[in-house]
Amino acid sequence: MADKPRIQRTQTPRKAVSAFPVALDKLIHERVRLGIVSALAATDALAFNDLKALLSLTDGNLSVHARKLEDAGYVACHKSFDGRTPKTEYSLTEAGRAALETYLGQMEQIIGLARGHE
Amino acid sequence: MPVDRPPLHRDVPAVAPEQRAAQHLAFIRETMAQSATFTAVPGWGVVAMGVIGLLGMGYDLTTPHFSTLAWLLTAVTAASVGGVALYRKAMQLGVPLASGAGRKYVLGLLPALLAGACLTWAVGRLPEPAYATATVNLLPGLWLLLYGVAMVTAGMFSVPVIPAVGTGFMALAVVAFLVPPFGQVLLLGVGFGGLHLFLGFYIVRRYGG
Repeated sequence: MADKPRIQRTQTPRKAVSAFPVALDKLIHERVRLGIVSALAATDALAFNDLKALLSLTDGNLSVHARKLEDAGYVACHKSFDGRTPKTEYSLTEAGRAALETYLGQMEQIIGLARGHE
Repeated sequence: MPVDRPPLHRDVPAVAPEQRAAQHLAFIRETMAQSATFTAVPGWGVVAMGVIGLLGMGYDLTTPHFSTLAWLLTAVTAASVGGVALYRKAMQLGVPLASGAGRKYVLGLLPALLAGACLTWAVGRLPEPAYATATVNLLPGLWLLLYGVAMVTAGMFSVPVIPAVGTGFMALAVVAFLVPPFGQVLLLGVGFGGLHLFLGFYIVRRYGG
């Protein structure tokens, strides 16, 4: 085994462009969750159906992503009844707003860094 | 041999991080603009419009020329006060009127208000006695109806109380078409005075002046 010639791989330098140069919050970096957080940041609260229509998601997809944000404390879920119809509303928590602001700052920082290198 | 991974597209150029960051920012901005409600409706400005509307009740519709001009003056004054208050609150809150929910709100108001202005102008061109008849029997209900439509349309992009009050204006319009001229003047006062005062104080209490 030891005398087996090693395969000489040509090292193609991994381009830094494929990844962001700063550590991002993966929870809101994902596009659907970023959409949820962004939508909630612009309003007091949004009903499940409004959020689903706004982001063109399926029930299951929205539920899964909203649950992840809820578990992280970024989003609060309020369940109530409108007559006999169950109503679910989401709102952004302070932690969620802070996370979005941090994320926005990081995006601007990345753009700023690139401009600095030009 | 089964293919267990997607093919590599080495010919597709990688996107630079700053471009991706710009795309993410654009996505956030668009999503926020789509979900935003216009919250810069000025509570105290609407209260002032209500007071002006109540003063309009003093005009006597049995003298059509005078009363129509007086109500038009009232409408222009109230709209100016409301417009300035709206602009000032939007500036205070940093809400742009030319984009996003602010733009939708303003554009939602305009069509029905312009329709009202056109129809009032058309009534004003009628010869006597059709002019007097249309003024006392039609204009109050028409104004209430189209103003209500404007509020319902614009209110789709704002807080829920605005379309609700707009529906109230529309209901008053239906009643106005059924009652004699004196009752119509009262309904103008109830709508442009009372409903505006209710809306203004509600906004002040719930969303700030």
